[in-house]
Amino acid sequence: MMTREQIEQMTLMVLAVAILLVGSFYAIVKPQWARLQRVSTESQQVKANLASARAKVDTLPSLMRQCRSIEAAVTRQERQFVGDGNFDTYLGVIKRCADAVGMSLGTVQLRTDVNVTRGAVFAERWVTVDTQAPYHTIGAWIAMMEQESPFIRVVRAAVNSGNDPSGKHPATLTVAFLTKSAKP
Amino acid sequence: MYPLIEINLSEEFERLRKKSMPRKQVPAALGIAIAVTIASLAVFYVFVYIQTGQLSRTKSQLSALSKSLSDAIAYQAQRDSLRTRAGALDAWHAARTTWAGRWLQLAQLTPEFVYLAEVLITPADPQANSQRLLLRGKAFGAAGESDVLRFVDNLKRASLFTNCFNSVTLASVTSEGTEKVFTLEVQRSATAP
Repeated sequence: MMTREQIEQMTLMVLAVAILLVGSFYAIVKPQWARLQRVSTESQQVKANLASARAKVDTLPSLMRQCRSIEAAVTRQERQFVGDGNFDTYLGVIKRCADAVGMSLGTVQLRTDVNVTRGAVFAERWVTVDTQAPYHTIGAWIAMMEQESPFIRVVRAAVNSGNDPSGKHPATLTVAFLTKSAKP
Repeated sequence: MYPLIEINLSEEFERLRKKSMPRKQVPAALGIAIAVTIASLAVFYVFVYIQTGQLSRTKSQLSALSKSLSDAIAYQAQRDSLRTRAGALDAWHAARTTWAGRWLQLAQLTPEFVYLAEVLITPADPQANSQRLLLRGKAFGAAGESDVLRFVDNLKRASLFTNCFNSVTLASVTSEGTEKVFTLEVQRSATAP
């Protein structure tokens, strides 16, 4: 049988412990718990970032190799582009090929109304050539142009039989030159 | 000194005496409770401290990788850009129809009594890679239709044309006196631009 004094002591003790626990919960445990939550969330995120970073860093040598080989291939091809988007360069090539096959040139004009892009980095410049020449001379000129660069193509051609007794046919040919689109 | 005989003491005296006595049970229990609480808090603190330390170490590992990581990201972007350029160049090559050989072969495939009046190459869509060759011509002689059909067959059998063009279609044949006027279409379907 507990005496009144013992009950008082017990009550006091329980109260003191309760106050101590509540006080330490609010003063220490709760902020620390919040901190722990924050730390563990951040830790998970940082660990994930670290794993991702390691995975990316591991691919660095392979990426460098790929960059070197693709860049070499692209640069090799880009060196075969004719000119840098300027009409005078295109006219020079057209004239040289025409002279080589004995084809006289009429009007040679850059088509400013055409905007054909190849991906985001390249564009086509179209040049229209008017001429009057025999069928096989036109064919020889086309062959020379196509041999000049793999980045030249004939996109349009119109050849009529015409009435010229010398066998020359009026023709309009449109040639596309691939160029870097950043240039005019 | 002899102890007092307790039974002789009044109740008031007894109460005062007990009050003045050291309370041993309450402080002991409180002490234990405080000790346990402090110990628990210490363990908790240590745990949080370890976690924080671990986070700091992970962060420093991450920051140690930052230079290599930024290099890797830059190289990845460069590779993607280069791949785009290479892809665009591949698309160009795939779309490019070379005419030199075909131009010559077209003349060789034309039968003796067939004459071409018009040769027309057009891109069906400038942005796409489709291309169309339209041939208008005349066939002379008694075997006019046969010559036209032979010309169509020749084109259909010529690998330079069949490798590149999907269809060779005779669009029309009309009679103009003794001549047969025909229109022929050779078509290449659009591929990805």
